[in-house]
Amino acid sequence: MMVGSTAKALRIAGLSKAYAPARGRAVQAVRDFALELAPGEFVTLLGPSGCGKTTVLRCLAGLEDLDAGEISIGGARIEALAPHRRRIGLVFQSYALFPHLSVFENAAYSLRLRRAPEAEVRGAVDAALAAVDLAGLGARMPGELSGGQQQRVAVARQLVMKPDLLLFDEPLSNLDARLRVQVRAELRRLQRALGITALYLTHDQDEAMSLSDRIAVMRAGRIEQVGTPREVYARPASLFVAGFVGKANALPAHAAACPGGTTAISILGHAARRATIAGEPAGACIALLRPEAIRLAGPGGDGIDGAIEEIEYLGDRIEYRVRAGGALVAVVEPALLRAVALAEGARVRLAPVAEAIHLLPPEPG
Amino acid sequence: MAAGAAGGQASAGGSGALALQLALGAFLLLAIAWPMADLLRRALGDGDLAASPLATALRDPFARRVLWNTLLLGAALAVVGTILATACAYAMTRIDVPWKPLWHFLALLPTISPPILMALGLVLLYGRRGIVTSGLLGMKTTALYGFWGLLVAQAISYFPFAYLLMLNQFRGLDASTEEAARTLGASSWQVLRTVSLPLMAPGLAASALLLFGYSFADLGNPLLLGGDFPVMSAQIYMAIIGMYDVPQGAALAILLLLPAALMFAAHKAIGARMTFAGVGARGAAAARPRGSRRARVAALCLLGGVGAIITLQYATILAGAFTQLFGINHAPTLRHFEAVLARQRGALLDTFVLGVAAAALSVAIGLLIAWVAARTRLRGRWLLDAVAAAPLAIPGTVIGLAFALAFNERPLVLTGTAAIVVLAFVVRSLPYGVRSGVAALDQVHRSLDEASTTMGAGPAATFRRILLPLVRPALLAGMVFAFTRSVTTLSAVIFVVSPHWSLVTPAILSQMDRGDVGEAAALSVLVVLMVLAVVHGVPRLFGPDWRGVRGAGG
Repeated sequence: MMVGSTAKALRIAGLSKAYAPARGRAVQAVRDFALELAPGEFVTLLGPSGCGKTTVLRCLAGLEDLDAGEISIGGARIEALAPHRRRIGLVFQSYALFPHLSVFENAAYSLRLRRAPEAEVRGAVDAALAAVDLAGLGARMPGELSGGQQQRVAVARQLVMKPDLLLFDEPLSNLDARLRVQVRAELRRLQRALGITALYLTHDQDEAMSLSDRIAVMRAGRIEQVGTPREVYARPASLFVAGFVGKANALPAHAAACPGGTTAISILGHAARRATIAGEPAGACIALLRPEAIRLAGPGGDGIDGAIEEIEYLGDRIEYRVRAGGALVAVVEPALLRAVALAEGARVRLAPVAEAIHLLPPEPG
Repeated sequence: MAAGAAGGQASAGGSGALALQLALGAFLLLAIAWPMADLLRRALGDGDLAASPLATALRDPFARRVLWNTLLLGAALAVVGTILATACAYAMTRIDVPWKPLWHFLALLPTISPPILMALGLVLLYGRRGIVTSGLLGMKTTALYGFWGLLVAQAISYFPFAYLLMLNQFRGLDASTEEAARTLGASSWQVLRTVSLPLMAPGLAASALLLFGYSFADLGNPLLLGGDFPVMSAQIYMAIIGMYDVPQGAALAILLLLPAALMFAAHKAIGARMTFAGVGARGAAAARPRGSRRARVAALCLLGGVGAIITLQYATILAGAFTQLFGINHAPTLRHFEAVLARQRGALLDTFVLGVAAAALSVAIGLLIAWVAARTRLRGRWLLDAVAAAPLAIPGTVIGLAFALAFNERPLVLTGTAAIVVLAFVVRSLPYGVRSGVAALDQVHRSLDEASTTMGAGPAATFRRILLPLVRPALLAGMVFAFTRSVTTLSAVIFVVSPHWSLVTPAILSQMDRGDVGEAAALSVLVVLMVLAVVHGVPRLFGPDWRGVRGAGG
């Protein structure tokens, strides 16, 4: 990754924020939240709506007063600063362009506030508009642009300010699905090229996976797990994380350490063995199996016997739901893998990929 | 709440709607077009235009000075009131100030009181024998009477309307736009200057024009506080009541109508461009009030100051009502109330009865006009809508005078009847009746009446069985507003009251004229209590439950 010279680290520690409505009980939106971003790193806060991720972002931007906690950027504490002194850019879900100003003046806004000389304004704005592929549209009014273009103006406006930290509040959620994938890739390219430290909010796991250096999965005001996309997907810290970043089969299992650094895992009577992973539970536990990490084979031989109960055709892939040992197990295969299609009711054998089995301690309650 | 429509009879089809449109048209012709045309005829005279009363008035230097005074006062009120209203609305929506419901209540109190009360309060406080000027400071001053006193009285009376308008403007702004400016490095003040105010420019202009119009229409304050600063409405009153010079009164009325109509046209033109082209995809987010310590203190001082001034007004009127002779003898007494209840019971009762009747009528007619304009495809329906909105442009004094003159002669003599009072009330409230009708119908999705139509209900059955039950709560709100507007007006009724049907506001004026300040204060207290009871009682009795309906209908 190319790290820009201006990139700064972000450190959040002990952040707490409760909302006290006029009537009713106070709501603890964020509780003892901690997160660190390396300079130039792109981290996604992933979580369902209401998990507190927007509150974290608004506290960072200074739009919300925090109850407790520290925020520092490049080592300097900022939590007591007014929003306009923080040098933190924010790209809003609604873009929040100034409808009475042209695209150029929208982008130039931060420089106009500083009364920057005209030549500097022109240079910086033209460069920013070119960076988001909007060169030549400066004279337009925001209302004359498409949603995707408005979104890029919102980004360009932040680039002109050269923020120490760039925040994104679900910026793609108002775009249609096709455009979203395209803009997502552009955003990532831009952020890498500029090397700005960025924190990105989303509830869309695909977005989080494709954009991020690391993902922080949030639940009920706390971080449940922080890790690279691969870690979060393959080794989720909890059933919640596993379920939020994709489909997962959670099956009762028993694990035992074996000589030679391996672990023997028994799932619904099927025995598997793979290299031990440090810190994983032993004894009665839960085995997480991603649907694409289970192979379907004909009956007989090694594996778990079952019968196909439902088949869902999804175009590029097929999802089978197989009844095996009282559990309903989801298995996903590429759609055009088989010459002869499997039918509902067919007897099959489930063969999990041993290396992909992830063990979790049994959930309390 | 929606009644089943399956059994609806197609009792009135397209021809029924057409008959309704014709009836409404005839009503508007009789109640608005005819009196105004009659007034114009009188102002223009019968023969030579150069010798007409209007031309005479235009040549008269005194009348020209009065017109100039009127414009000057209106402009001053527009500027002062808009600045004050904007500041208060900003403090209420953007800054975390304590006791907001209290400030809001106090700021809106003048909207439900006759404006003449403000003059009464000011006279008691700062007049020749005012408790502040004479009592505290020992001054014998007449400074209150004239331009400045009028400006203050009108500012207190009418600033709340501009405040409501600006409150909605601030609430309507997408908070994320302002927050974006903050994160881009703008201080609160820079956000206001570079983002909020430019976005609200049409709203600011609308507020200024609104206040201009209110200043033109005000009669009570100029009569009591005008002094050596005569304005149009008071001059019309003098011409008619003092000199019984009908042609001159009519000419002055037309002279007042012209700038008022211009203001209204400008207001309409701005309203059409009220919002910028939609930007962004989501609905507007509400701003969360915050603010530094200094901002909070400043906001509290502002709101507290405005609240204190208004409180002082009402407290003074209360004190005036309960003391022997306010400013001189402060022994507590109930004699003013006894006198008022003995002598003015009729006025109170008439005001209430006629106000209720007019409120019901203006909302009913307004709803019918709104329905014809919005839900039928009849030709000429826009004209109904436009004529019904015209009274917004006509100062109350002009409407009242036009009524008194037009309905004093054949073919339709209404002088001295309750009908002419109710008609004046209805016409003045009709634009708001139509507006509440439009708002009410907006709550109901068009597909509802289309569904009813497909199930075999005609327009009349659809209206009665589907629309009316759904929109009733919104109409009640409209009726409360119309009632308040009718009960508090002085200008529109001063020429049409009669010994048979007396009203409260003219009674207060004549008590003030006679120097019965105590009785005027007591009657004022009673009328404010009556309006408060209606404003707060009606929603409690009938329950404003239409918000739930909105979700189902949307």
